[in-house]
Amino acid sequence: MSPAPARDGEPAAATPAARVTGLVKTFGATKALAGITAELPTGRILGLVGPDGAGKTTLIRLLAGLMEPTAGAVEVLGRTPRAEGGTRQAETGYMPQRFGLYEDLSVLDNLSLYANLRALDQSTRQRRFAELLRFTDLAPFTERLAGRLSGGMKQKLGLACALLGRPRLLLLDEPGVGVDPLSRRELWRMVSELVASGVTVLWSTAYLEEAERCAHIWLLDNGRLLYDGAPARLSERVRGRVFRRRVAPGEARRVAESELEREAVLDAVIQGASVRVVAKPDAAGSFRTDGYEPVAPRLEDAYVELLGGARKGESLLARGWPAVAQTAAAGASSAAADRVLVRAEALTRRFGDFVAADTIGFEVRAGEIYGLLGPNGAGKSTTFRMLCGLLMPTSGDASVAGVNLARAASRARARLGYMAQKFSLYGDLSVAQNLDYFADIYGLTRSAKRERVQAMIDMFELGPHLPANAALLPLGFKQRLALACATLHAPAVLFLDEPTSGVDPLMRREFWHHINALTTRGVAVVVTTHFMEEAEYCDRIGLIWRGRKIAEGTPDELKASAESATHPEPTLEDAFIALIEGEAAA
Amino acid sequence: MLQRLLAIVRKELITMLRDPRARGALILPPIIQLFIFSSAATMEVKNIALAIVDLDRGPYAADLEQRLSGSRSFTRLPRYANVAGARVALDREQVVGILVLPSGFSPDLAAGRPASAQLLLDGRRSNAAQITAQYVSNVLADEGAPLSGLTGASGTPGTATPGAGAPGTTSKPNAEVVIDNWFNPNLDYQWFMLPNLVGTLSLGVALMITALSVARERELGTFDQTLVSPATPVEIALGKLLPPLLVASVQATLYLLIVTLLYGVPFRGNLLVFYTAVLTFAAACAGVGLFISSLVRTQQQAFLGAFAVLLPFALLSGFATPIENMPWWLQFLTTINPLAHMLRLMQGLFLKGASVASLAQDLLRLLEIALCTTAAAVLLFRRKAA
Repeated sequence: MSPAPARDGEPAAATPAARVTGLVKTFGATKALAGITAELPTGRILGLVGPDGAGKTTLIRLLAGLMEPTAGAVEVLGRTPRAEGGTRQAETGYMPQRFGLYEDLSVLDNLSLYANLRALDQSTRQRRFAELLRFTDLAPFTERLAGRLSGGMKQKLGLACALLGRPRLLLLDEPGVGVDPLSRRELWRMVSELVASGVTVLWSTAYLEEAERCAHIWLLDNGRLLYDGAPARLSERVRGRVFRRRVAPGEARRVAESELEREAVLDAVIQGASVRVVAKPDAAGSFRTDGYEPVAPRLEDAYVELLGGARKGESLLARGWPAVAQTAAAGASSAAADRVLVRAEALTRRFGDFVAADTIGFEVRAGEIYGLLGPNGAGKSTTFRMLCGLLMPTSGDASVAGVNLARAASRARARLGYMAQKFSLYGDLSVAQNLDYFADIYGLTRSAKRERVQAMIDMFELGPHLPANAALLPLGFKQRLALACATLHAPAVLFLDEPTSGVDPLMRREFWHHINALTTRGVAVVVTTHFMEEAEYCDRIGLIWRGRKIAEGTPDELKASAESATHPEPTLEDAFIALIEGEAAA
Repeated sequence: MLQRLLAIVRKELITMLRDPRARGALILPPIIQLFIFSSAATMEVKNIALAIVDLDRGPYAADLEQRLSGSRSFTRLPRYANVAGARVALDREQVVGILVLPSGFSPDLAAGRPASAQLLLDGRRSNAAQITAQYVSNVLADEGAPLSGLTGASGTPGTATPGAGAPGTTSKPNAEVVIDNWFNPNLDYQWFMLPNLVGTLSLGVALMITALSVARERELGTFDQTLVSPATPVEIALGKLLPPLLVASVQATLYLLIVTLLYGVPFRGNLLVFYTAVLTFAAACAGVGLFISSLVRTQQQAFLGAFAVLLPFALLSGFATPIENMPWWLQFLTTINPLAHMLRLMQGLFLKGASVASLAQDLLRLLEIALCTTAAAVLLFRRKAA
């Protein structure tokens, strides 16, 4: 890597902002960090990347001086964080995953509170507040209660509070989680400005597209540092081995699956109407044919290779799925493959004067994946909750597999499976008890229950974990168990609420591998997500903004609609932002 | 329907009982409370000190002191030379009262003349003072019994007025009240206390379990997962109401065993009536708990909500203060308080051995209340859940 650029009046630029040496942290029998040695370059954005449970938060808390290492040393801005508590407070800003905002206090009250904690005097305080409110665009909302801010605005307020003391090192723990692309981009802009003014920023994330923008990354997995350097250098490992294969509409899933079956293929993912293929080393030659277009490598391609490549093999979940006829028992004319399984008709939901969802309508057919996208607070969750029967619409109709949710709620709900973003199984119950509970609550007969539960246990390799409390499972197994419980009753429609939030790319691939396979069995899928890799898996996307559906189409149609001179080849995220900005300007 | 309901009930029970710590938290504190409250929440006057100012120094005074110190009520009988010294102790609440035996007390008694003693009491501790006055006058009366022509005298609480000694006769005291305490012959306060605690403690358990359970699921995000299943809100609500009944009856069984075997309080009623009362009462409380749970979003709110009803329930039950002494409108409120009926039922079952017919009224009332609270809770739950 190139040396850190020197900054005016910053003689310390060459010395690292932080240094960890042989850092080990254990919690009981768990080793959160298993010996990490690295340097955090000054005046840059460092991306701390890794799946949930990799040790990111532990590392950040050690840097912030909030805990003591089990072994090894931490040095932040030339000091050991804890030993000199007073200076640590002033020079390091820390924004935890859920920043400690007081939801019942206004924006200004929150700022004042943190200013008091830092003992800022009156004049500094006024100046600093004005600066930060301008910086975060929160000035018009100073009187609003923090609890009523959107996810993105909360993060900005959290950032403002963390910046009160003018820190030289800013530690941000997953600032992009639960934040829509628009707000994420804004946060990124703000952080870049800070870096330009000489601040060193550590930005932790489970998402590689975020990490890719950082100058330098630390890649953590299982408490170990897998990579320490510029992201581009890591991507170079797979240069020349990444191809894009354009496919006919509706063929992407089938092609992706068949590509993955090939011996020469390390990884294959869907990107709208094309499939991205990563070849194994020395196997690139077999792709220099028509239909495969070489493309620039991305961090994710290299990361997947680092972790051993995508998991191959047929989805047993789909294989064990009951025959289509049985799944589609609700309607007599169910033979038609394009049967509409989810129908939203002029769905409207008001909360007092506020219209959270305004006459939203769309249809999802058997075997189709439909993505609901939109900024925080746009009405996407409201729509989603109305569709799975968690919220009554003020007006309009929602039906699942031909059954109206308002008229026959229980019967309609029996036809849908639901998987929430947060792990929402019973943590105090064992794995076996959870499966048992969901089988019973979905009314499986004794024999069907025995068969389906056993099938889930075999397919997701849950056997050794059966007696364990669900809450204590490793993240990957939680994910599997949640999918198992949501699909025990072989629902006609699956509702997925940010299903792979925080999981590593391999786990996400495994998850979507099953979902894709289920669509071949005629299952319709509705998914909400803030992350564009996930949106690429959708057949069609509905973009929700200010309670209305402002755009609908395939990922490629949406991308095409955002094409411009400045953005000849927009990403889905560019399209998302362009569409919303276009609407806001109109 | 039944499969789903049973699945929910089983899930609730596992959640409560699977974790050894949660299990302990469910069973142990109420039992510990039973032991502690039955000893602490007593209105008997024990462990108190009474100052003696003996200006008489005669044989009768000595005898009187002997008798007082033999009483288990008085742990200490400090002696003071004069009233002024004793008064300081009283001011500092070191003693609850001062018994002044004037000079001439013994000679008067010996001569068969009416004698008077003075009892000064601390009016700030009115309850203890009242009972002390009772004890001392009893002892003085006893003192009089073998010595014909003598009755004791006592002062009124908190005043310095010497009690008027009753004029003595040569044969026997001029008036005699024979007290016979029914149902609790020795007026053992624990006999009154323990059956009451059986009711009050099961109130807390049934109410808390339900009040917290829905809020807990909301916080954990598990509630949505159950709500999107075909289980109807009514099934979910019933699934939440039934487990507390089971827990309450297990606890009631434990209480029954402890109270009868360990404390020797008689159980004179019918076991069937006992369990009917426990289940109905638990249902009434669980209904209130579920009602609270439907209104709140977090466990903290649920806890505060439960607390807000627990205290009035306890205060308006006749547990601490007699219902007969309350103003009419509060008396009315006690008729819709499940705990008031439960306490009467428990006293009837333990101490009176009352017939089913005489308990029927309270039992019927309890049943009505249980139906109202559970129905209201299920309706509200259905409205809020959908």
